[in-house]
Amino acid sequence: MHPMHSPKLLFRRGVGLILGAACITSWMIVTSYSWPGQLSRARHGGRVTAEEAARFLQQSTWGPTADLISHVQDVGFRKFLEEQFDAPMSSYPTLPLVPSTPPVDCPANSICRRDNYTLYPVQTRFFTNTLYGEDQLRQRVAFALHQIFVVSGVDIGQGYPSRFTPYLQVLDSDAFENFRTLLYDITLNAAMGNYLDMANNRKTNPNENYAREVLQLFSIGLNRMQPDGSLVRDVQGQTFPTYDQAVVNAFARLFTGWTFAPAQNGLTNYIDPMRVANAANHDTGTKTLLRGVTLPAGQTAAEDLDDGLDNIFQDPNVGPFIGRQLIQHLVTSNPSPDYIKRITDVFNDNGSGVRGDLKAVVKAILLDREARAASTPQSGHLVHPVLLITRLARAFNVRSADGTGDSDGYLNPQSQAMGMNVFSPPSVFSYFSPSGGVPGSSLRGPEFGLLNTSTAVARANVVNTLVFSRIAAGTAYPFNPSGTSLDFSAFQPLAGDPEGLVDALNALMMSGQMSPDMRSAVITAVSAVNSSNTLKRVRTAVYLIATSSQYQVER
Amino acid sequence: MTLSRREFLRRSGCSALSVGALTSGIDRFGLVQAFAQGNSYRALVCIFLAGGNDGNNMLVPLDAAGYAAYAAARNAAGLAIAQGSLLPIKPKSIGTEFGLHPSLAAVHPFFTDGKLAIVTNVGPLIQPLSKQDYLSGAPRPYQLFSHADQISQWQTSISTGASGTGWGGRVADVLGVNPSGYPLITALAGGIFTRGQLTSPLTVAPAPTALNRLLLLSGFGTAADEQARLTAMNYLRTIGRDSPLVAAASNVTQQALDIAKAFDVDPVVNTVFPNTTLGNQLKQVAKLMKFNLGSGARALTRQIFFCSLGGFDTHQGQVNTQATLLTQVGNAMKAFYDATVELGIESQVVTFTLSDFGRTLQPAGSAGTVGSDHAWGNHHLVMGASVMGGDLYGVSGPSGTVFPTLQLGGPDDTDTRGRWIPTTSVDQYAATLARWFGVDEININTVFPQLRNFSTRDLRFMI
Repeated sequence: MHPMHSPKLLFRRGVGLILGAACITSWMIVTSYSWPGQLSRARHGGRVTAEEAARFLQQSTWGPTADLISHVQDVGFRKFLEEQFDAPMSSYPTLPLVPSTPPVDCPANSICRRDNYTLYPVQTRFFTNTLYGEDQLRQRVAFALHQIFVVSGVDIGQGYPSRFTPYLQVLDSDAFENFRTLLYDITLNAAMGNYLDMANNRKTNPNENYAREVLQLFSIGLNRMQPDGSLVRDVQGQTFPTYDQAVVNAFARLFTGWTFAPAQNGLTNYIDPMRVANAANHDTGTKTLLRGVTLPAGQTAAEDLDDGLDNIFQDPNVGPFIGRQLIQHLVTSNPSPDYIKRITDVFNDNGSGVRGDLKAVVKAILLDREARAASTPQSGHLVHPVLLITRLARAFNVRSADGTGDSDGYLNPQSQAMGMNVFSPPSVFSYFSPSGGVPGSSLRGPEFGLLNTSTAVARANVVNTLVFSRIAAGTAYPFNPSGTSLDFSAFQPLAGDPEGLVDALNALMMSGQMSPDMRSAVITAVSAVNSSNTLKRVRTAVYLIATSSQYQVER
Repeated sequence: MTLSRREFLRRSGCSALSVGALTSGIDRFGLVQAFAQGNSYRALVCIFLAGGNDGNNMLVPLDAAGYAAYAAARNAAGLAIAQGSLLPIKPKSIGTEFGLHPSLAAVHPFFTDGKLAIVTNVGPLIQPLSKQDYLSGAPRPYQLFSHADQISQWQTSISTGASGTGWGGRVADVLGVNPSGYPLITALAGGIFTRGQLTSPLTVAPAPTALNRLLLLSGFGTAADEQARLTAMNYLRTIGRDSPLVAAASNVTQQALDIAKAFDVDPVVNTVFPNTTLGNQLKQVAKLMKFNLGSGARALTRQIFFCSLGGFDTHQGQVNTQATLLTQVGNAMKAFYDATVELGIESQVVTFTLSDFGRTLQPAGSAGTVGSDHAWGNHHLVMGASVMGGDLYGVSGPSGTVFPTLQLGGPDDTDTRGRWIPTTSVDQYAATLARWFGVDEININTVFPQLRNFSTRDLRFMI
């Protein structure tokens, strides 16, 4: 779909990186700086090091590649971000609407059924976007937004691709727009309208679902926060709820009157934004919203909606609430209060007096000194299953099973085995809670919500499949037309030198943060493989790194 | 309840697991004898009905006045179940008849047979709360009507704020951490219910995954280079532990690999289970029970299981959705009970439901799309041969019985939509189960710190 990089180019760049990285890493070990503080010392004349570039790409893309590392070294962080903001959008196609019940000429296990009644085309497009798309940062941010503004394919009728891609188009196109624009577009998206019951919400028995979740999950959260994300407390230590049931009731009434756009060929319209078909369905009474702001009686549904979303958007909680989550998705589960505060400040004012500029927020998150400084024992985050797959796949020139073309992107089964069914989180509370903890610690670790005895082993076994085998084509017809494989040929020339091999992999996979004892353990295992079997040597090293907690906690 | 971090680490099985288990190895469960001695086997099996099951349609009054009140609130919008299709039951302690949702046909006979009880109008509370108390601002649970918070309160039995541990996990904590690393708690689904201060659950896939296929690491042969790779992989879990995130991730993997060694057979349970989400979870529970019972002196004497079925958040389309889901619940519970009979432990196992919250008696929307919204007090099923079935349980409320008054704006309603203020707390419900399970009175107060606020400490639905 997006053959962005020619294999030849990757190969050439790959070798260049390998040699350079080996040199730098050896130097760092010889001078025996206590790792990982060494990274910031590895600069040469202001040029970004390969390790720094790799770490930046861990946070801003679906995984560093050899050529992107070189590129970031060439242009620097800021220029790379500008390129990413302007990169053509991969996004998702608008598909023809289909009847709720599959017609008889669209039987089970057919391509018709696969493409119109399962999330297959959406999930595979998602993976090919992450693997090959140029707009890496947009895709990464949009997926973070999906985990905040959740619509799940689990719900009956959402799993239809034609109903789902317009929702993803909103996330993609608004990822770098203003938060207020995103809030408006997502509120009127038809899939969201169905999922949280704003569609056909009427003044008789208004439905509270969207009202509650837009406040609790999409914008301000439950409790008053300081700009640094800490909770506001009184002298007794009590927190202050951001809203009560009366405010939820008011927003439930505010969101009345909306329904789907006119049907197309008798099919419910999930493509266009919702609209007001009958003004009489809107509750025109006065409404008291957040912070005691009152809307007058007699407003139209559209006027109420604009005022209501402004009321939410202007709430001081939005900056720390959304900012912290974006930091958690991109950089670290445990940002310092100062880091959150700096992002809140940018959310509140991008420097030009604009509130809610998501492009400025994302830029600030990635260029923040805490994101760029050397990692600490508390920093980083456990990668979620999708990121585990894409980081590995992108590092090793992911191809179709026979190596001749692109992967078909049918990687959701692997992600699902690790507990993350893409676009089908169990509920509006997403795949894991942003406030989830690290077991046995007081730290936050949202992604640990997906890690348990079952998925921990699945992580190792997915790595085993990708590294030592491949996902063959055609075994799950019609779902995997071309399969997926990794290409280790760029590293096989290094197999005769286990130290050099491991150092090169360290630079690419772990942004040079591998500890000396981990390095020597991997080298020992690589050396145990017969030197004539260069592929198995590389695979052994990659397997050990990719299954390690040191790699899966991205720091 | 709060242990210092140091205390936690000292007492935790995790620190031992991380390094000790690497070298010690475990044989089968490797249990200390003290653990296996004492009372005979007992198990708690929790079924979480995720999304908020509408108890108002699960248990409906059948007497003329009661049904009329129910129908008055729900019939016009199309949410009332026809009187004639409800499955009649006669609770022993109440003079009037009630009806179960018609989709619970599979478990209906258990009520009459005295093996199914229903705890009514139960929900999170901090202290007993009358409508007057509620309206005058008396302490009430944190973030009522919100999914995430109410799920947490049902699963943690802490209503004053967020809790890092669930009540299942804390029950397991006070019964002692198994030194082998094989936890008392097994999770077939995610939820904070299973997490304790000292206990983290074994998480396994549901049936049809065979027990001896659970948690197996693939890709290692006997060749020297592959064993060298395995040695290195094992070593990597012991280093880099200055990062709490790295250490925690390594601990989970280590626990999984230790336990995988113990699962050396795949026991057969002959009872036929429905091939559904919940059916497959409960089938795996039955197999895990059989496996444990076959472990001789090393068998666990206490086990807790957590299962979950989603889809109950029926803001819309409730009529069909809830019917489908309750059919699945009833059929799976029936099969599971039959399996405990097959294993000869039907008196030693109790199955019970939890859910986010009840739903508004007043419908949301109408006709084909009718549903209901988030509410509070709800009704729950408790099943097993040691259950004093055939009755409704709880603390009597304004109606004079344990069943709420089905009246919008009435004495049990928080507002005008039919959100019942619970007359029985989650603490009382859970403590009754925990006491039967073997938690003594001192530890009950530790596990359920809010229980002291309620005069009734046991709802008496367990034998």
